[in-house]
Amino acid sequence: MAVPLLQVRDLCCSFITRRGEVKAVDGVSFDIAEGESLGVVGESGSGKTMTALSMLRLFGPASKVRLSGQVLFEGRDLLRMSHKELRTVRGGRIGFVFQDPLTSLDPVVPVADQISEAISLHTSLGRKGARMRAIELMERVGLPNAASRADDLPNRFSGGMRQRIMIAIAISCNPKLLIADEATTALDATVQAQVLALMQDLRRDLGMAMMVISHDLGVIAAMCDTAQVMYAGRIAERAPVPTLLRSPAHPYSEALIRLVPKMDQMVHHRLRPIPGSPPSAIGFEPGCRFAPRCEYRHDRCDVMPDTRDVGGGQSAACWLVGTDREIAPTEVAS
Amino acid sequence: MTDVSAGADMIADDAVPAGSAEVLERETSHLGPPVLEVRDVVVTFDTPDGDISPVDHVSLTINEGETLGLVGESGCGKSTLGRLILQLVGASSGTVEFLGNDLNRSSAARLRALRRELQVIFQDPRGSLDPKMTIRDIVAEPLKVHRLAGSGERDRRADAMLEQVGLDPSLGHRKPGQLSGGQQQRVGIGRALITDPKLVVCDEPVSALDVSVQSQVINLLQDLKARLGVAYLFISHNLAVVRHLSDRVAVMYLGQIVEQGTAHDVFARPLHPYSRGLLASVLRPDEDAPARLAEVTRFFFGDVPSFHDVPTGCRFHPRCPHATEICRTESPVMELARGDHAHDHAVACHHWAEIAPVPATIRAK
Repeated sequence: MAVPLLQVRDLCCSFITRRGEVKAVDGVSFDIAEGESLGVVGESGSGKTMTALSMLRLFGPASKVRLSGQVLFEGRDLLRMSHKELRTVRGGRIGFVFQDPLTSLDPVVPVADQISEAISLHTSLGRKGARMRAIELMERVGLPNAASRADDLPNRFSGGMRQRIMIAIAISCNPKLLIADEATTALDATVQAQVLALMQDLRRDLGMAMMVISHDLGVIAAMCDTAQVMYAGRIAERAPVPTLLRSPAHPYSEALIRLVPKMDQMVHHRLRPIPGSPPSAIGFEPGCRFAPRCEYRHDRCDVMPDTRDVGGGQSAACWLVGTDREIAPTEVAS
Repeated sequence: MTDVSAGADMIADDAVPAGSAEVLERETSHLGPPVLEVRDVVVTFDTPDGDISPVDHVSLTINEGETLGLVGESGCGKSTLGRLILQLVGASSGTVEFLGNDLNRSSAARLRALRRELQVIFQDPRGSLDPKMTIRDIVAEPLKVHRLAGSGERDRRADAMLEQVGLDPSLGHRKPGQLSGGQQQRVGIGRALITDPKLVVCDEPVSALDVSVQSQVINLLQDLKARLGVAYLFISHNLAVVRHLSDRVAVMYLGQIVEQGTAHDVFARPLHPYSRGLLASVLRPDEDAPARLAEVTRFFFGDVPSFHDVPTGCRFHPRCPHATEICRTESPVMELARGDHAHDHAVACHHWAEIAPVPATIRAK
């Protein structure tokens, strides 16, 4: 089998605060194959975004971060690379799009210049060449009248248009991997759908792999081949998307699927929230971190379960896996 | 602009076209008497770039104990409509009748008395709670404002309300900053319901909350409605949440209602091309999701135009895949969906009857 494009091994990321060590990411391992689209889903604070930031070491110089593990991208460990080398990877072989396009774009620089800046950094194209490529990219991401709007400032564009500009920057150097962190969360539904459709298109055309981070299972279902459910800094479950939606193996995945209102549900159907709240990332209790909220909890949960293989590409960190006590199928797929 | 107002003026005419507010009211009479009737209302703001009307000839009715979901994209005017009903902005024409009182003509004293029956829950719980007050005082404040109870009685009722919204009264001495987002929203809900209102305007009340907290608040709103018989105007961009909570739904686009009916009718058989597009763009967690996303650009294109540059004729026509010449010139009038089994499904589109139904993967079952 070919070597995966990205191999993350035992990634840990913690912050040193006055109140103690905050474990944002705690022993996360996963692969992304060439051209694969991986979705990372979970509630706020589950470690989804911190996983991506740790992979690219995108922290301010002053932040007290402790990183460990391996992030092998095309065979090289991003965690052990010099900053200079890492800069050629970030925005080059790995592109990224974040939630808020207004703060990610420089408000006083014309959009085409911001796109060509990324191109000049990572390619040998001259100024004119980079500008032409920038306008080409603006057209590619569906900005009407690209040439005449190239010198407009970001505030002249709507939220959806600005996110398209961010995507143009992210794909400007034909990345092998695009990381999209809640990239469409701030957009209206119709605009979100159009931007996601564009990203799917680009993924197919450019043969990129994607890592889609979202709290919204709908986004993951529409965009991804594989999904990874995170809870309290760890991966609870990984499965092909249809499998996850039809028969989640981890009780947290099941609860997460169950608690969102569905378009097909009868009006006045009652939602089933998860009792309690996620644990504090300062000083986790031993054992399974979901156990205090889990309706299948039993004595073995006092010990942290390993990730166990379910078969068919599905695995989950739960003692239930492999026992005959199955999780009841959810109503979501019907 | 002239076309639009001419078209909408017809609604207010004596020769009532099918689907106008009055017809709808008659058709939905089985739902109990109306608590709110908005008739042909216009709200105009004057901006440095000229006047805009984020609410432009809107009519709707909310019946006793009913939840009306108001959906549309940001900037479509749905929050302005909510603020109009709360009398936080004034109408330049049209009437808002609440419990039989024309709010534009009511005296200040009458309005104050009516406000007790008309409450609001905002999107941002933190921003809408006074950080220096205890949550017991926040929940009790409407009783004080409306002089409904003495101080001992206020505290007792506030504690009872805290319990109703799922907060332990022993938390009553805390300040909002010491609570989680979900708990803060419960305080906002308690404050809205303590005067036993007939109608609560809920403006995106769960949008700022994490999914698991969101589901708790949705359940709470449902329980309180069942227990207290309050009606909600539930404003949200989240169609699944609206579908879940609403009896009826109104779809708003660029200042106008383009379709309304029961939640089931609007989501299972959307008639207006914009409603169809909205429904198609809901990302549902199921196996059809990738196929649905690939089809989404068939239903509409582009971004919402600005109120400064409202399209002629039907306002949706520049984004509509079914638009023809008439759509560019004539503004469509709300009409009842004839041939539909439902009585109160109304739509403002020249072509709704000719457009093929949405595919099974898109409509709600």
